[in-house]
Amino acid sequence: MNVRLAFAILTLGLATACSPRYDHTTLTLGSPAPVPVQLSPAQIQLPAGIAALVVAEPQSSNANLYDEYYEVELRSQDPGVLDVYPGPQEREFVLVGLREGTTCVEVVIQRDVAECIAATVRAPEQ
Amino acid sequence: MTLLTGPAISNRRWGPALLTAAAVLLACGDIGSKPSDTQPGELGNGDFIYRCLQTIGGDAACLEGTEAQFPDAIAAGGVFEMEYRSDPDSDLQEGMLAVRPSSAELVTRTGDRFTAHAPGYAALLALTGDSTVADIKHIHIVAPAQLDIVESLTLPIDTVYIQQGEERTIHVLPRDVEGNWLAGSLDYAWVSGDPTLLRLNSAANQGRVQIEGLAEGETTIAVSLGELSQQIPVIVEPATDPTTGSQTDSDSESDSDSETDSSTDTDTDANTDTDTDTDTDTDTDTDTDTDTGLVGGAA
Repeated sequence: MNVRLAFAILTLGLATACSPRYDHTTLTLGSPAPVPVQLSPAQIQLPAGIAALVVAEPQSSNANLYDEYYEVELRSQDPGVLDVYPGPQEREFVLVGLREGTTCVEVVIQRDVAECIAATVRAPEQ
Repeated sequence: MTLLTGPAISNRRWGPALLTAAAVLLACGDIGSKPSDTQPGELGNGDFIYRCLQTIGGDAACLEGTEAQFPDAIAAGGVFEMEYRSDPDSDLQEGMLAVRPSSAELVTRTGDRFTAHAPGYAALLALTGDSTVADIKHIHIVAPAQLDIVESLTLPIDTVYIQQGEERTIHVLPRDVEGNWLAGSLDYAWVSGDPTLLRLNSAANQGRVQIEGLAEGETTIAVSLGELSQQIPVIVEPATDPTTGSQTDSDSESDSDSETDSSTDTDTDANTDTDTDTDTDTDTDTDTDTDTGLVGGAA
């Protein structure tokens, strides 16, 4: 066997084995909201007009974690329905309901879209 | 005021013009500081500053004679200003940050002014130069359900007593269905029931109006906001004689007591002043009226 090829395969294998494997992202509410905001790994729900600070932590299905060296970003597929702003700290984001509708929020890790979380913006609550 | 000193004021042509311009500016409130109150942002990185428009008195949060208050709720249709000052100890950009409304369906911004459009909770975002959200403040927008004519936040009036020649300022307070006052400058319409008895001496579209008693009699003053309206009676009384302190009745008839007096009262004072009172009635009225003009009554 070609020694170079064997070395490349070994290196790739080691690199893959040491990387986290994306499973889901936990979203934790980081600010008080005057009305209920629902956050789960599969669903975001908030009324139009509300802004919610969330902390996004991608979870790995293997033993390797998404440590602080992994760049995480949230991105709305329809910023006219729900917009996402960067928050004051790393992995903090502000979700803002703009108008009633549905979209999804992409979880971007190291510039790759890991998944898109369904998002619903409800009518404003009075 | 340095504006009016020096040659300008002595110039017969420009002096009156400058005085007029200054009076207009003062009347419009376009100079001077705006009342404000602060509340910390929900992320704890600084303070939001609520400011009433320079037309002071048009906003219940800044009623004349009271401290400005950061409102719990803002009237739908209300206009206001909001600024944000970051905490010097925070890691974020220092100083004043831009404030942007979250949803244009609920709040819009034009220049420094925010307009609350529809009922609901609306977030205002304090943004740094790179559009990072430094802080958040939710405001509650509520449709006004009633109007109260008031002298202050805590003193509704059910009848205005004013003397001939006297000027007085009254306010309107929008309230929600639970009676809580609502902030924001709104476009009101004030109307005197009889302009020959009661004149409106200031812009009649603000949250406050200056009224002047012209002639003795009874009339009304009404204020409206869209489909909401409120009207209260106004009693214009004879002017008080500045030398004696007694009122100078302009008619020769003996007045009947304007309060709930049904006895044979020959009182010449509509407010039962004790100095000239020959009242022989047997009612239990213990008024010690000091002629403050406005008589309040809980709404």
